Amino acid sequence: MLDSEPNWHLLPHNPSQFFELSNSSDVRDLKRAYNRLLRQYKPEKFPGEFQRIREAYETLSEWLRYGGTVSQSPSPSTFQPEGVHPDCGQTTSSDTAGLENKTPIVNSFRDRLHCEPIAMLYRELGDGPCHSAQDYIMLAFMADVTARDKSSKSARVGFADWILRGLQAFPRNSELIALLRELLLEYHDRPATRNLLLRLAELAKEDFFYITERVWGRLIDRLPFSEFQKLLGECEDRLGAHSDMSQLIFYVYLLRSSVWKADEDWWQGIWKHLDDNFFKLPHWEQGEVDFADNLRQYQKCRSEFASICPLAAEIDHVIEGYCLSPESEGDWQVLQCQSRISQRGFFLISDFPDQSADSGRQDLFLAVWDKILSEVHDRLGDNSELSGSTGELQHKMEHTLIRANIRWAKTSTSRQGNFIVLVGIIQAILIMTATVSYLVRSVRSFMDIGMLQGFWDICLAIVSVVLGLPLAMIVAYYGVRKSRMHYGHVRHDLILLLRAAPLNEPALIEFIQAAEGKKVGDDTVSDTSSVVKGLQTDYAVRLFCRAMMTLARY
Amino acid sequence: MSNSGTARDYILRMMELCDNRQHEEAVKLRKAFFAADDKARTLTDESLHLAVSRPELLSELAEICENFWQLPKNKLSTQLARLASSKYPEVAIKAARLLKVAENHTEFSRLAADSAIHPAFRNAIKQIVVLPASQANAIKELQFSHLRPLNNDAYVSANHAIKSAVDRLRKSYPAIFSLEPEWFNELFYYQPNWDLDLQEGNMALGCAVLALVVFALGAFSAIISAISDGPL
Repeated sequence: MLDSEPNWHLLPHNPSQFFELSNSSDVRDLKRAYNRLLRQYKPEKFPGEFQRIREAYETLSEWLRYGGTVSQSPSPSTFQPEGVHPDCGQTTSSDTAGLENKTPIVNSFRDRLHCEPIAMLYRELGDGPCHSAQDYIMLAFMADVTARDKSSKSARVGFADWILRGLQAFPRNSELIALLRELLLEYHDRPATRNLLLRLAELAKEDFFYITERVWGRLIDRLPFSEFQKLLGECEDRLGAHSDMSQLIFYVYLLRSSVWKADEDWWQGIWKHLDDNFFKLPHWEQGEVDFADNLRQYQKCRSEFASICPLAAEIDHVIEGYCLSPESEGDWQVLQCQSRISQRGFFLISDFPDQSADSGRQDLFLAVWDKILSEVHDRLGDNSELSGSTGELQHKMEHTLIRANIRWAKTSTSRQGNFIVLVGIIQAILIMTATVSYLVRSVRSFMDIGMLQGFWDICLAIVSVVLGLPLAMIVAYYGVRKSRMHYGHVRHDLILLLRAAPLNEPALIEFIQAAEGKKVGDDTVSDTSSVVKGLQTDYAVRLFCRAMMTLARY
Repeated sequence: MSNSGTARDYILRMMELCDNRQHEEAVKLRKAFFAADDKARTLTDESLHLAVSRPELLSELAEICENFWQLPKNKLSTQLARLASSKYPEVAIKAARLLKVAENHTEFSRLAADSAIHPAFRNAIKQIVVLPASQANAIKELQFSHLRPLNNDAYVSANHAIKSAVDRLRKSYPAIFSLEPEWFNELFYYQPNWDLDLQEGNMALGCAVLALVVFALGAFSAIISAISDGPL
């Protein structure tokens, strides 16, 4: 269905119908529909369409994440005639307080705005009964520009007050909620933020955490933790036992920032609470808890990673910054860092010289880094296409490996290895020859009735085989190992290859493995297993590979 | 307070933004509105352009990249400075990079007339500094391939030309050098013998090992012969 042209006219007002979601759809269904559309509208080819799809997806996914349903999802246009959707002619259902079917006064005000004084309109609208959420929003806009008239009862009522009053009358109105969410983020005055949060905790119990989520994310970074904890506690007291599930989802959201800021007791308390309720959480939230767990483990051993080189310290700093900053700022830091990694090029090899780093720690770090990158890539648009045809990439990989093989074959280590293999083989041949000779002689001795000599020769044959042959095999095996190409020899070439043809790590491994045994001219690609093994513990190439994939997206 | 025309513009624009579900932009416009001078509160061009979308900015940026070296310097700097303050990180990063290049326009003009650097290399540098990373990397790799004995038979002269060009860039054009220091260093420090035969000194070792093997075999044969004469 979605492979055909989507109903663009449903955006931005009706994202749920645009994604063709049913009332029972959840975040997973939304994600599937989103991914299907993205395959059709790739950001590099359709930037405008991608942006519209992305915005609709974000609006809806945040709503669904907090347990909202598709039927309640943000839909109507504020300043379109109420009750009837501008495009599809369906009755909207966003307002739930029973007043939504009345015609908003604001519609008639729109025309009057051009010819009548705003102060008068403001008094008239503010003094009369408001019929819809739109009326409150219009009052908020007018409050910004109108001189305060002390004779009007609407005097001293500001933007936020009108929005809050609107929310009191229309508790789940999506427009009021959206404005309030953004307004909170623009508040930099601590007492004002505190005041607004406390009022919201009284007014919007059901949607409190959905509305305020992002502002808490910023407060945890800006306020001393004790002050943050106190304010959150006060709001929770006002909320009472309300919204158990949305509180859990909110705590999950807070996890990634509290890893860096919270004191141990608070963290343990929240962690225990989430752990006890883990299976009540939707599975996408469980994934977020797992990420926080990885983050926590990484945070404990971060100094080890950060001490590898200045670039590692920079990446560590970006991880912390990403978890604590607003989305766009975090993305900015990650993109800058990826650009830095890609610029380092060959120098990454000297930045991360130790290829035998603890692979467990490395995997932990990369699990954290990959999750961050996947979120950033998601926002930039998924561009998972390979840069070039598979055949072309395979050809490049074979050439790279052959070049490394040839170079390796000329090294002293490789030559020594080959010599040792040769020695082992000659030793084995000699031993086998000696053994056969002893056996022949023993047969002849038995025939000449020289029993003792015959037994002695058999003993010698057995000793030669039992002792000499394993020894020869050990020597040959040691030679084979020594002559196998060292991974360090190919790192440089892999970086060159990735720069010309960005590949993700699984694809890179796949191409390396597929090159085994392939002939290029007179040479054959070999030792790919040692390349794959080395790659799996190589920070330099693994980071470079990720950086190139990010840069290929923009 | 504000004049009525501006006030009306503000309200109408806020309504329009809310209508398009651009609440973030609406709140930003409000902030810009309050930030304006109290005596003459006006909606500046800046505040009215807050809602320019990401694709529009990206296409503007792509157009700049394409015509970067033809655009007038002043216009270019103004346009890029505005884009560099975009809320979209990928736009801001690219624009900031291009702005840095634009600031060194004079140095690039000087470089264009410098006959001590090979024209193809000069051209490659001009492309690399303005192109998106993915495309710039392909050009970097092409330049690098000139240095490699396996790719270029005339690698010795290419090495000499590129290394002396990098050295000149470092000394005479530090601002250009600082745009791509790692890549220039890669070129400068590359040693062709990384790709060449490394057998010097290996022959002696090989002969020593071979002599040892022959000696071991001789000894082994002697022992076998001694034993094979038997205990009897």
